[in-house]
Amino acid sequence: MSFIRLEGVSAGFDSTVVVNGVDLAIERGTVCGFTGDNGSGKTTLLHTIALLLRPMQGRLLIDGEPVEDAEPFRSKIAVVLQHPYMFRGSVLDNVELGLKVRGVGALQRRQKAQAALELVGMAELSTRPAKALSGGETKRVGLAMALCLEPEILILDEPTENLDHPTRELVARIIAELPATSGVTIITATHDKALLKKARADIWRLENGRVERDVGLNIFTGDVSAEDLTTFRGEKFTISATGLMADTHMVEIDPVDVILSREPVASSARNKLEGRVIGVEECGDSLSLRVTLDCGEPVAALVTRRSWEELGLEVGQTAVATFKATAVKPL
Amino acid sequence: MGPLSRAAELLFSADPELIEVVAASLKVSLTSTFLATLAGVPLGALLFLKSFPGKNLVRLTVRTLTALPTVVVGLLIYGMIGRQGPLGQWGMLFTPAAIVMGQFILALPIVVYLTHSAVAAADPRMFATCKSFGAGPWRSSVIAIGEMRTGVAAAIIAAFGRVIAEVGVAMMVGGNIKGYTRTMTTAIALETGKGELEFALALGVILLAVAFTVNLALQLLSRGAK
Repeated sequence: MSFIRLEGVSAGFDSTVVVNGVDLAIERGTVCGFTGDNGSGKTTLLHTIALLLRPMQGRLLIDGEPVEDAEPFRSKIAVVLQHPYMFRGSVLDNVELGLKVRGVGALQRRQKAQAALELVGMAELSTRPAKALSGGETKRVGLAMALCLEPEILILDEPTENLDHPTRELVARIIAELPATSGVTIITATHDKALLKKARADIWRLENGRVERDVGLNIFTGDVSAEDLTTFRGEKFTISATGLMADTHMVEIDPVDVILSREPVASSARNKLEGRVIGVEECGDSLSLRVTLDCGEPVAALVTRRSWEELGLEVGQTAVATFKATAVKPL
Repeated sequence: MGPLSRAAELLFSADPELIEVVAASLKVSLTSTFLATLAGVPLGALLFLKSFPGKNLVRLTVRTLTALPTVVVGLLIYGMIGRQGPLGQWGMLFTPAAIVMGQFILALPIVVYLTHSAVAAADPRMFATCKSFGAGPWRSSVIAIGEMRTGVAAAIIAAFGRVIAEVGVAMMVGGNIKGYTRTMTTAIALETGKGELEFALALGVILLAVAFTVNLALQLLSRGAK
């Protein structure tokens, strides 16, 4: 029996349906990640699972029990909003507030809050007015506010957004380690695929309010060349890239940035990979197609149906995937 | 000596009659505002946070009542506590308690409505966070009032401004009894009728000073909250 189960859940605001008929099962002690473009419904789905939003249709089950009334389930869940709200008072006051609402005694409250602040590296700022914190600090305090509640389900909306590199690493490490150390189930919406990879998350992609398993298109593992930081040596091919760091081991190329052609095209793009077409599928709407080439590893390109027809390609034929070095994003 | 200089003399000499009137005014107005705050602030917050059938109608009614004419309230209270009224045996007519009752009715919708507006202006993330903590409407109201304390203070001050300056209720159910129910506004009305413009003017200056102090307090409070 899955710990959290969504059965045909639709959710939204007023009469606008944002999440449409989602069926999903999430196991206890795992990390579940939702990816997708802005407006795809990630936050709405998170808020529905966090019991901040009532489903318009379908039902949500936690630990096998259907959630009719949210109140009995609230103590199992803690939420970190995309932009956490800071109340008046000090950082410590803020972290203690949730515990206070949940009826935890003063001494225990102080201990738990300090431990949570320690964990997110904010203990030194515990007396600072919370409203005066920077965006990154607010994010970490928000995480501490949730962690000190010791939830069974931790819901994180864009937990690494706008964080500097060391803080991002810290948060990623907490997310990756927490399920094993405390048994918590983490559900997160993020654009940070490296975070999800590190946490070995079950990744789902939201598109037009529906979820589908994210197969991790165009994510390649490898190493940065020792000679220069513009060459990424993948397992099957080498890519020219910008913005790489010596410790980059994973890069991603958005299929939108990949140009598909029958022959190599003369252009300023640094990367041209030849491969056989192994898949063509509709993507989101009937106008777009996702074409996958086997270039040693699958490389996907997003093209319009009209372009595909004009190219006259078929599955099994050879084609070229072209993309600029700037299209390669280190993860 | 002109009325203005006579008024200044009354003010600076701490005239006992003047002090008596000012004290009576402050006593009834502060009491009614305090009671309206006790009832109105939580009601205002709950009116925003709690869902119930007819909520929009209640909100509209409360807003309408903020413009309640003071003489209508005076008439209503008079009908209730007058000798023939249902509460006639309580002997409240022409007492400070009667004025407090009337001013409470005037102040309550102002406190409720402006508190509601203050809480409604709060960041929606605050309510989502409270909810995620497991706070129900009552607990969320308490937290929201603390967060929006400047707006709530403005509501209380606006209510105080309304009752300290009202004359209808104080005149109709207070009776303007010297040394007992005579307030600044009823005294101004009386003294003006008698042609005692100096005394009326001195009271007018004090009323304005009270209004100024109240607004200064509000400004300082807003600055402190930022």
